Formats: sequence, C-alpha cells, structure tokens
Amino acid sequence: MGAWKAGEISYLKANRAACALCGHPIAIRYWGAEVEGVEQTFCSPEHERLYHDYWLPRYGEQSHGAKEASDGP
Amino acid sequence: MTTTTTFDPVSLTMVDNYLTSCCRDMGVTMMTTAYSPIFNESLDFSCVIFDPEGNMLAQAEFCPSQIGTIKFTVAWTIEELGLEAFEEGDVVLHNDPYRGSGHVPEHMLLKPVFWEGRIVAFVANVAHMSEVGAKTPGGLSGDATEVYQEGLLLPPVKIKRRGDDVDDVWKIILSNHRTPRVTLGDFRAMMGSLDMAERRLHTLIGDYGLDFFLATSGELMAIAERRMRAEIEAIPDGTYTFTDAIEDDGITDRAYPIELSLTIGGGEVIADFTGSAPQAVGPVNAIYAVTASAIYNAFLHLTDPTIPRNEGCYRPFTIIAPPGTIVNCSFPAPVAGGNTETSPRITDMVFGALQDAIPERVAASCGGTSSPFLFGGTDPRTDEPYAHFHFEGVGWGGRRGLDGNNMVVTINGNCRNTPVEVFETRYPAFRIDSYRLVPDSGGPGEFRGGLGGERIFTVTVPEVTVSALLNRMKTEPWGVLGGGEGAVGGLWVRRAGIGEWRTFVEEFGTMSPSKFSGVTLRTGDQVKILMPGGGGYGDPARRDPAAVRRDVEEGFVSEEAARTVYGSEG
Repeated sequence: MGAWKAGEISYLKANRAACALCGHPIAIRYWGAEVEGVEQTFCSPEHERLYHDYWLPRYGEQSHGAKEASDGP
Repeated sequence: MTTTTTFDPVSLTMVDNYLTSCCRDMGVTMMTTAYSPIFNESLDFSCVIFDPEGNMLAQAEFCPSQIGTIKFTVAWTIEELGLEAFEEGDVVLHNDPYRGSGHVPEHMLLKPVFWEGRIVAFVANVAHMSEVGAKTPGGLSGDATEVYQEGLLLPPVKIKRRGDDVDDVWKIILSNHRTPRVTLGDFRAMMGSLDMAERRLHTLIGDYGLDFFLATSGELMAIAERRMRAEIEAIPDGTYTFTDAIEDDGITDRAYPIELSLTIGGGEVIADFTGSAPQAVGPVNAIYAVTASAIYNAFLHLTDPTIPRNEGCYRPFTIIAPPGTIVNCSFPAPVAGGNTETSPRITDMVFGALQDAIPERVAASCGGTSSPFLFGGTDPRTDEPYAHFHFEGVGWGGRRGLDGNNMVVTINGNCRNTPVEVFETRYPAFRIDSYRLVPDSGGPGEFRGGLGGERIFTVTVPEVTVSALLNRMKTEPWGVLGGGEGAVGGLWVRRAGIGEWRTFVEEFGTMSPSKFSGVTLRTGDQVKILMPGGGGYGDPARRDPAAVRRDVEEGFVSEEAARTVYGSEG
C-alpha cells in the first residue's frame, strides 16, 4: 500500500529522484510504494499500477535506465 | 447527495474559444513588441493558461515542442515555490532543463491571476531567447559537453514581486547575456503578453462569474480527455515499434539509436523508450519533458484537430524514458539539441511505428532538423553586440493524398525562417547570395516528399562567430509504405579567395560537419547550407503521371529522375 510523500528541493545535491516507471524527475511530491521489499518512488498511484502491470511483465526486476540501453552502432 | 451540473455546448465552446484566442493574442503581443527576430519572425514561443493546480486550460498553436515543456516547467514551478508563495503582480522566471524546462534558451514566465484575493489561474509563456550567455553567441553550442556551457541556468525565481522588478535578479541576467538590451526588450514583450492575458481573464470572470469559469474550464478538460481516448481507441490495439538514430553528437563520431515501442489499448498509449542509447557526450540529449512533448505532438498530428488543446488531451499518455539515456538524460549532460533535433526525430518515429496501423493518417519522415545556424559579433554600425538563431526549413514527408511541404521548419517547431530582408537589415554579418529549392531532394513516392533547400551567404563584416547544430547530414529521411528516402543536407564553407567548397571538418577541424561552435569567419567567406528533403509516401510507380509532369515543369523533379524513378515517358 503506497502513500503520498514529500521530498525536499535541494540546491546542494545534483542527483534528483525520478519515477521508477517513467523516469520523470520528481520535484517534491511523490507516491512511495514498496515493491519486493524496497520502497520505490513513483509519480502517482497509476504509475505504480503500470509498474506491476506493464513494466515487471516485460522487463522483470532489472533496473531500467542506461543499463538497458544499447551501445549503438 | 450528489449534484450533476449540465453544461450547455454554446457556453463550453465560447469559453474554449475565448481562452484559445487569449493565448493567440498573447503570441501576437510578443511577436509585435519583442526585439528579436526569433520572436518577431520565427515565432519560437508558446502561450498557455493553467489552473491553480498546474493543469493546462488552453494553449495556442505556436511551437509544439514547447507543449510538454511548459506543462512540466509550470508544474515544477508551482510545486517548488508553493501556491502560498505567489502574490498578485508576481512574475516567475524559469529556464532550468533539469527542473522541467526544455533547454536553456527557453525561458518560461509565469504569472498568477488573482480574483477576490485568491489565485484562480496562471498565465504563462515560454520563448527561445536569442542570447543566453552560453560559451558562444546565441547558445546551442554544437560541441557543448555540459549544460553549464549552454547558458545561464535560472531555477524558478521572481523577476517581479507585487508588480515591481526584482532588480537583483535582473542584474544577474543582464550581466550574463551578451545582448542585454535585446534580452530586456524580449522579456518585456513576454511580460506584456502576460499582463494582457490577465486582463482578458478578469474580463471573462467579471462577465460570467468565477464559478462559471472554473466549472466550464474543468469540463473542457474532461471533454478533451474523452475525445482523445476515443481517437486512440480507433487505432487498432497492439504494440508498434520503430528505431531511428541521431547521427552524431558533435563530440564523438557515433550514432545514438532511439528505440520506441508504442503500446496502444483501452484508449491509452504507452510510449516506451527502453533500449535507447545512453545519453550523448554532446548536446543532442532530450530531457524528459522534451521527449514527452514530442509524443504529444505526434498524436496531435494524428487525431482530430478540433479537440480542445488542454490537459485532458495528454492524460491518456504514459511516456517511459529511462534516465541516463538520450531521451531522458541525467544532469549535467548538455541538452540544447534535444529540443531542436531529437524532438522531431521522436515525433517522426511515431508515424513510422504506426504506418501499417493507420496508413491514412501518417506521414513519412520530415527533414528532421531545425537547422540551427547561429552567429554573433559586434555590429560595426553601432558597436553593439548582436546574436541570432537562424532556422531553416526542410522538406516534410509525403502523406496520403498530398506531397510533403517544401522547406517548412521541422515538425516540432511550427516556426518560420528569417526572411532574407530581415536577415540582411537586422544583422550586418551576411549578404544572402541565393536561396532556392533543390530538385530531386524530395523522397520519391506516390505522394512525393517535400523539397529541401539551399542557402548561400557571404560574410560582409571583418569577423563573425558562427555555430551550428544540424542533423540529417548523413542519414536520409525515410519513406513509408514503399516511399523513397529524401536527400540528406550538408554544410560547407568557402574561404575568401579560394574556389572550392569544403566542410567545416576539412577547413576548421571540427569533429562533426554540422555540429560545432565558435568558428570565426571573415569578410568574403561564404557559407552554404543544404537542407534535407522529406521522405516519400507509397510506391513511386503509383504516382499520377500528370503529377510527375507537373513536377518536371516546375523544376521539382529532374527529367532524368522522372524517367528512372517514376518511369515517366516524358
């Protein structure tokens, strides 16, 4: 069961959180939900649902992002 | 107990048209009062009205690549500052790509609209400033390796507080831009546009009441969502894929593939870019908002143009763009060309993916580059610095029933090029020697791709600094459903007194022939820009022979191509 949570805007940190499904950068408010015992950050409950219904069936538990990218020709 | 409000269609249409025309007038205000040709001529801006939660209520049909970016920029701004931070008369400025903006030159201004002491809407515009304090004049440095080289980054900051200029912030901006007088003039045009929109909203609410405004604008978003979902439901369910690439990044000579998987079903679209290349070293990276914007743009082309253009249009879409890739790069990667080059590539890819599903609606690839050619220096007539971002058009892809447009600025921009007369009178740097369509540059097809063009100009001042960030110089714009490829573009220089055209790689040692910055040209040097054509639609053998004859008569297709490609008997 997830919940709406609030992070902080920091001008001292370069790394910013992103939605675990879509990759959209999170400003402050996010939907936090536990997936396989790990808290994940989502834009919304809808994106948590899609993470289960779309993402996991296609890509399993691999983390997505550059790791998934090809090296190109 | 629940209550149901019934909206009459006349009122809904009136409010939708009122808000949209208000956004259009915002643009006209900017076009007519700004100092830069990128506002006056190229119209590289967008104008939008939002509700207090950051939902888009209306927009005008200016620059499609900014549709998504302004949505994300405004949402970030409201979230970061908080509604309680806004006071009547405030104006907030924001251009930071890693906080939702598109790329550094695009500056968003946001103004709250108050009614009886509460915020009832926001009016906003986003515009491409022609000078932003980047490593070279005009920004868009084709060989930048960090966003810091692309200009002054401004997170959400107030430039007006309760109607008064915040002088400290203005000092920072104007001392970082090479052309402060022009920057100030363009910002004043943007602020005038916001003031006009604020007055219009006050008139609407004063005439019809706040409850009416809030209720109808909410219902318009619901209508747009229902209609967009219905349009998507008309596309056969399934997963459609397409791959294309950005041909180099200005720093390394390698291509960056983009992988798109579109899953359509239940009135929704999932656009998944998993598998796309890692982010580039050079400035061809898109940030999330740009990628989302390109998807929205594609579907606005494919669906009913009468759907109200508001937040509801975008609700059926989920865009999955893995962080650290060319479609959602991570800080501090350079991003200038994501908005001008990668964005049109993504929009075209949607058409490529759906060519078999909805062949009656898609188009072949357009020339796919905004053709940014930037220059700056000091005007010898006034001793004042100048900088300019020059667009060129490209051929657009053929589509069922129509050939592609000739030499129109690429699909993400809806912008216009700088007319020759303006180019020559506003800037002392160049004389235009020729400007023409290029025969046979449109991809062959039952419906031919639009023609690319060629512009040659001569340097007329002792020294001018030029930069470029062009694509489709190596890989052709593709056709669909049997159509052929459009011609690639090119960029060359001919030094004064030397007879041959050479690439910038050959003459100046740039890594890329079309992405570089800070090259100095001198009096008598010439530049030739060749813009790509569009891809063709359908088998060229099916082209109407009369259309082929007309193409030959108009010089669009050579007699040889008519014979060998189209089988014309003459």
